[in-house]
Amino acid sequence: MKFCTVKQYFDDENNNNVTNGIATTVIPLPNKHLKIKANNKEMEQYEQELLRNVMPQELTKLILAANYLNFKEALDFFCRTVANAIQNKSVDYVRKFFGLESDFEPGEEEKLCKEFAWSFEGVDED
Amino acid sequence: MLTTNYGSSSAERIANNEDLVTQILIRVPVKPLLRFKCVSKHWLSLISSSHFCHHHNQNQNQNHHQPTSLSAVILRRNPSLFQFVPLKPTKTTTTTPPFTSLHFINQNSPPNIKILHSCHGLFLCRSVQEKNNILNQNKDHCYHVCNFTTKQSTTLPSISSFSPNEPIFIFGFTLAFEPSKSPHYQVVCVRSTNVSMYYYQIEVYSSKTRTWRTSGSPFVAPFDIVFDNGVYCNGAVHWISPSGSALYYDIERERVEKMPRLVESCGKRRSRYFGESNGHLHLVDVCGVRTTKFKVFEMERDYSKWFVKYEVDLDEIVATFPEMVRNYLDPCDSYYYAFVIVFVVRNENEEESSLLLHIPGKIISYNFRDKSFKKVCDLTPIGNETKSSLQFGWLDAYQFVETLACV
Repeated sequence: MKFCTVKQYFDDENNNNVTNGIATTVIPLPNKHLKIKANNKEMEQYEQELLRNVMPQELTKLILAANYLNFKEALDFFCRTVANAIQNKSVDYVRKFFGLESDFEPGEEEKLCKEFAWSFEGVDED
Repeated sequence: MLTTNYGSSSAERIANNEDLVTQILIRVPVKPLLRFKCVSKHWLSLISSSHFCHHHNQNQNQNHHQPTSLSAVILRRNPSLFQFVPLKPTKTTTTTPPFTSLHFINQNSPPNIKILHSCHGLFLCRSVQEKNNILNQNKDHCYHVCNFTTKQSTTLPSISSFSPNEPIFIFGFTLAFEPSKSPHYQVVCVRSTNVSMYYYQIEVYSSKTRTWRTSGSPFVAPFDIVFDNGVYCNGAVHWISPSGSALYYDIERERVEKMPRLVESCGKRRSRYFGESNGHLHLVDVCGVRTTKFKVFEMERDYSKWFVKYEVDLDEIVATFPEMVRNYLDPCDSYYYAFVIVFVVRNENEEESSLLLHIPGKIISYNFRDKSFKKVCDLTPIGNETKSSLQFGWLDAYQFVETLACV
């Protein structure tokens, strides 16, 4: 069964607040999936409702949890949500989100930006 | 990182896990991904890798939440000028096209490049190069497969001839690319064979092997089959003839088969459209006098017959756009109404299937289901065009889908 590692996962964690959040979000998903498996639209609405108040940073924790638990449907769903959240964002926003820094030589980055100038259109303000 | 404090480091943990970063990025559309190449060297290398590109293509095709639909149509207004006609509603009203010229293909030579065919976002192009030989003034054709989204291209090797004294005659090339099935593409070529001048032979190039190979046996075809306007659809390349014959080449089975003959015209034929959209083959014959009504035929998946998929009535469009009426012509003239079918768009969602029409100065989209229509874009006259001219047809229109596919 999928959740044989759940107990171990929760035992590993020190931070109880985090585990509670994950418990309420991740655990109910498989049952819900089975119930409304056939109906994509209903599942979409349920997913949107579930994540309405979840900030993108919280999502990253959910991704790690779903990955650890090897729960593919939840991983797909959370990754999709993060993908939707970042797709209209600027390069700087994405860097800050993932804690990354630019390691390009001076001029390299400008060259790339120029080559794909059209992909910089319609980007949300930071 | 051994910290158990989750804070913002969970995002960093993901960033350090290439599998998880990939899981997120394959769900991001192509356009933002090109922008994200600027995030870091690692992301540049990841997004550009062929493994990622294939994974991304597969995911986009399987993803029910974001069905891939035609992004745009590229119109060749003249040999060196392209108009990009977006079909999906975009966030911003002005859209910078991904490319305006084909210079990236071959920066050394003058821009002598012609688009021959497009398939799921990849393009087959031909360039003409002068031979640097005073004695031999022949022009050499070079063929390239290009990805206009990523601005990459590759030149195809030439097909070797049997012997120096028996040059091969090429009748046509078609690009075959099915990203949902394979990251590799093929180019199907119909050429002459030294068996007999009445026979043809198929050569196939595979991007996996990077070589040409002869495929199947030489075959006979109706005398007027047009091999250089092949249409790729569902694993096969299709050709038709003005007199109604139709053939297709099944790439996997490596066989040339007959297709049901094209439906007989109901009068003098004015124009014929033959194309593919979303895995379906379409045929439209516009015939008769002062026609505003015609049918769109679709081929059954098992090649059993052509059936009427849509019925089109342009009367309302003619009433709305009087510039379509060429009242200087005799009303019996086939070309009394100025319109050209550019593209039949068959959508996953049937409500949105539409017909793209070129009328003087505009492109119109006509919805098959509710017969509504709207202007897609204006066409400013260029060069010698006048406001009332129709300058191109379906042979000058190419489907465009953003893709990361490697060439």
